[in-house]
Amino acid sequence: MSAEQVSDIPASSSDLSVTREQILSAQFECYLKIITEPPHSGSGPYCNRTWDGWLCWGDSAPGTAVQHCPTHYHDFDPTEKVTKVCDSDGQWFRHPESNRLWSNYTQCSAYTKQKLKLTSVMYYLAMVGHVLSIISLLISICIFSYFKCLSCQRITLHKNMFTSFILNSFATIGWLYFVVGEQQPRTDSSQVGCKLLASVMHYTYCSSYFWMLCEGIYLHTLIIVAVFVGEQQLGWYYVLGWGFPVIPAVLHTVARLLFHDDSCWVMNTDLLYIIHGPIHVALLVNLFFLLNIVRVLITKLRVTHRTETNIYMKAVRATIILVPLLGIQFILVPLEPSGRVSRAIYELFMNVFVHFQGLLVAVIFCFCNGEVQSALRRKFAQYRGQWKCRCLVTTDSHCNYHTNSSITETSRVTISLEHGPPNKSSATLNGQTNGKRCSSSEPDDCDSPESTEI
Amino acid sequence: MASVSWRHTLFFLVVVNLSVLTTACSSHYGNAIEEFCLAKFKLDMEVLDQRQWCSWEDTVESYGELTNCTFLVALKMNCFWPNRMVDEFFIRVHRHYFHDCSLSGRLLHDPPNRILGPFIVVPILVTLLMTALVVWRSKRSEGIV
Repeated sequence: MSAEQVSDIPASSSDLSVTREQILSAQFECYLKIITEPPHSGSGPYCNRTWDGWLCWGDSAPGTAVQHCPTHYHDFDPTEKVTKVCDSDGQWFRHPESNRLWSNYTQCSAYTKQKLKLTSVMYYLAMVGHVLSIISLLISICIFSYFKCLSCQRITLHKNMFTSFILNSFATIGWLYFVVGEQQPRTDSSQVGCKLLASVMHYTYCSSYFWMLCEGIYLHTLIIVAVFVGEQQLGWYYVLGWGFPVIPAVLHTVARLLFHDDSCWVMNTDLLYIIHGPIHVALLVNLFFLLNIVRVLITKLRVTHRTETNIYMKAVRATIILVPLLGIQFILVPLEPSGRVSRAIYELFMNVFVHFQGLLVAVIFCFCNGEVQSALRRKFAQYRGQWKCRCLVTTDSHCNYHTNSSITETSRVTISLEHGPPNKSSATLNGQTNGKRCSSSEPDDCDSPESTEI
Repeated sequence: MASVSWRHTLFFLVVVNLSVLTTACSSHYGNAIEEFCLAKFKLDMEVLDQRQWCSWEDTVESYGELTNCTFLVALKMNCFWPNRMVDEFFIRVHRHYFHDCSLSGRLLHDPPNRILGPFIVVPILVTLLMTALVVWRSKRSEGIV
């Protein structure tokens, strides 16, 4: 065996037996590979294929053979490398002190302590991110539900998306606590529990990205495809946002149980692409839709409907900022650096991007929303008892022209402008579109286009 | 040359006559593991049906004992483990008992691409289909097709 490894991490007896079976399986498959592989094809001396106790080595030309560290022990990092030197006369390297055949496993556990510290920092960062996300999203949902004048179809989609992010945060907090926080030995029932939690986590993760896609499709339909439509049927959006993510989640569960049933499904395998594949596709399709909207707004509507173009652009802006931000973690994955310090920084950024997503969504879609801000300001001022309703009506009478804040109403106003006096038709259209709209005494709770930002 | 071979023969005779060897590792190790370890393994494998020899669940215990036995003999004989003789020993064992067993499947590993492919491609296709369906349904709900 190669260098003695002293593990600082206490291993339970079940872990040791798992390790022993893992090493035994590796040894068995190594000797099978040794007897089935064709003989060495190159010329000159070479080192014979061998099993060094932990890893399998094939016929190697003189030089240094390199492999990834095995996962036999908890303190072995599989991203580190194992090296075995082959002499120029076809003999494996022998350690000068003991004269035994020796592979260099020192790198596998050399940095484990620092990495554990880093992992615990990441763990707390993730927990903080998800807790902040939950709080900010709950506040946003409360704001959207409380201010009835804000409600329109787009806000309904926002609320559903926020709900999926909240569920995702809860599931992730639970899973992280279970897997990383708890150190107890894994019993069968706890295995079932944490695998179920992992499935729920994957489902909600997928669902949040699909609700983003629903937002993009909704805007696309509203602005480009069906400009003259009344309210859209939201039923299909619910199916795409809540129903469809069941498919990848169930497929992943089945595949994982059949092919790669490790403890608590902690290991990163290619099977995760079952979840991430559809997410990538959803992000790309979303980006395509949004860029299409921008293209149409810039080229076609600019000439004819300048003000409406601005309104649409402002509405689209939020979604088009958010889609790349949600997708940036996937763009960064292939760029993982190899150095130790740079990888630590990279992991820090990735953790922030992934675990603070809910907070980002809440900020961009709610707290930075001009309507929400003015509604809150008004409520606050009203709460202080400073304002009278009549003052609001007189100061912003011209806002009735563009009194409609959401895009649905804006498209109606566009039509109504061509057909008759704006005040009358917009008022009737208002009454039609949002049953929960504010009474006519406060027509400007949803406000003028200048503040219809994001 | 003759004196060297005489010395080697003498050494070999001395080695063979010692029941417990406490000095350096030697080729006697190969014989020792054949004698002590392989015998038990042969008995274990004969109990099993020949078709079961490739079943990992049935053979893991005896294989583990065989490995452990070679390790203990190495400790006793002051050899480091594993070494070239261990390699050759196991190669012989595998050639006799496990030569037609599947090369993978005992360790956790990803399924081959022909299985993984459909699992990944199907949700992606359904995603695209669902998106098209939602766009189409929204378009239709306007009443003007």
